[in-house]
Amino acid sequence: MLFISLFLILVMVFAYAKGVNVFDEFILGVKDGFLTVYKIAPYLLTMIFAIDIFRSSSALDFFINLLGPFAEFFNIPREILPMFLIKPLSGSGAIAVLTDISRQYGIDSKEAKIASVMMGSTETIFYTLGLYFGIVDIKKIRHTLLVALIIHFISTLIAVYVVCGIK
Amino acid sequence: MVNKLWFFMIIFGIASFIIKGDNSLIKVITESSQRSVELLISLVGIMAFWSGVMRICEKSGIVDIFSRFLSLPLRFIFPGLYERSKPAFFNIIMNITSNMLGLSNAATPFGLKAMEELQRINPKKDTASDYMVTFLIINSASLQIIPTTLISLRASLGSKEPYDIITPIIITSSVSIIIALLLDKLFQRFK
Repeated sequence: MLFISLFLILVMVFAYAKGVNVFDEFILGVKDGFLTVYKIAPYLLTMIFAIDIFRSSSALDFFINLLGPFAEFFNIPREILPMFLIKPLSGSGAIAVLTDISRQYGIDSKEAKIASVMMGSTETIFYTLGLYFGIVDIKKIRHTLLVALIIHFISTLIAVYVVCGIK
Repeated sequence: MVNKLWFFMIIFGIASFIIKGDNSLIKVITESSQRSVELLISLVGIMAFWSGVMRICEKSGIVDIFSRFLSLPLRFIFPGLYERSKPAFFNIIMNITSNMLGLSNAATPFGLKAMEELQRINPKKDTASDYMVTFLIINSASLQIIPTTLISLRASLGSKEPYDIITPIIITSSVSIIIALLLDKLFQRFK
């Protein structure tokens, strides 16, 4: 909390001293904020529909149980497996999963905390690599995807350990 | 890929309702849409606040100050790049700094420009150069100091401590970025 307050003061004072019209810029930013939510809204709704149907039909539990032994072996709580599977593919999917986990266990629960840390410290790998390599027409990406996936897995483990402590 | 995943979840979900003889599907869909719209409405306010802050952050040139701190480690991570292509190096710095500050809208254009500049000095045009691989691996480890969307989302979901995840995220990202760079160097050497 202190960190955020200090960051806000730093940004405001620095910008003001530099002669930035903070009021006008803030308003333009607020406009951006509205637009961002407007832009993600269709994706978010679409993903939440799928995840809610998938979850309420207990189809999700079925797949989580399949992956259960794998998760247990690495001490990963199985509640966060949906985040592990969806984040590399879709950012709005990740938001939908966090919403779902928060509804099941509460947003301040251990599960939601791990899922949040994962969401913040992993990347939508397939989307990013597709976009960045696509724009320069690179076909052979060498070890990029492999290392990115290993890192996704390692970040998940670290997220679990940082939130729950090392067992 | 998202297309397949979505299709799979919808079909499998609805089929499970039918198999179980459960007829609450319409109720689930109705509740789901109501909750999503409520979430979006509460998200607008807090996202607006952070976007305002980030806009000021962007205009103040604070990104340049942060990027100065990154210049030295990045010269080490991308050996010789500064000498070979200043624009590529500059765009990489700006991309990483913007990502760190949670300015993802600003980060993407810098990232794409960086890729174009890297492609210019790439001898094999269809194969990723070492620089490109390293750059994208750093991006995959996602180093974020102020994850604005996540904080806003947690606040809209009613968290008492939406900011509590910042330190764990910084720890997780820092450790994974170091491992990522080590793995990258390892692969570069043995492949």
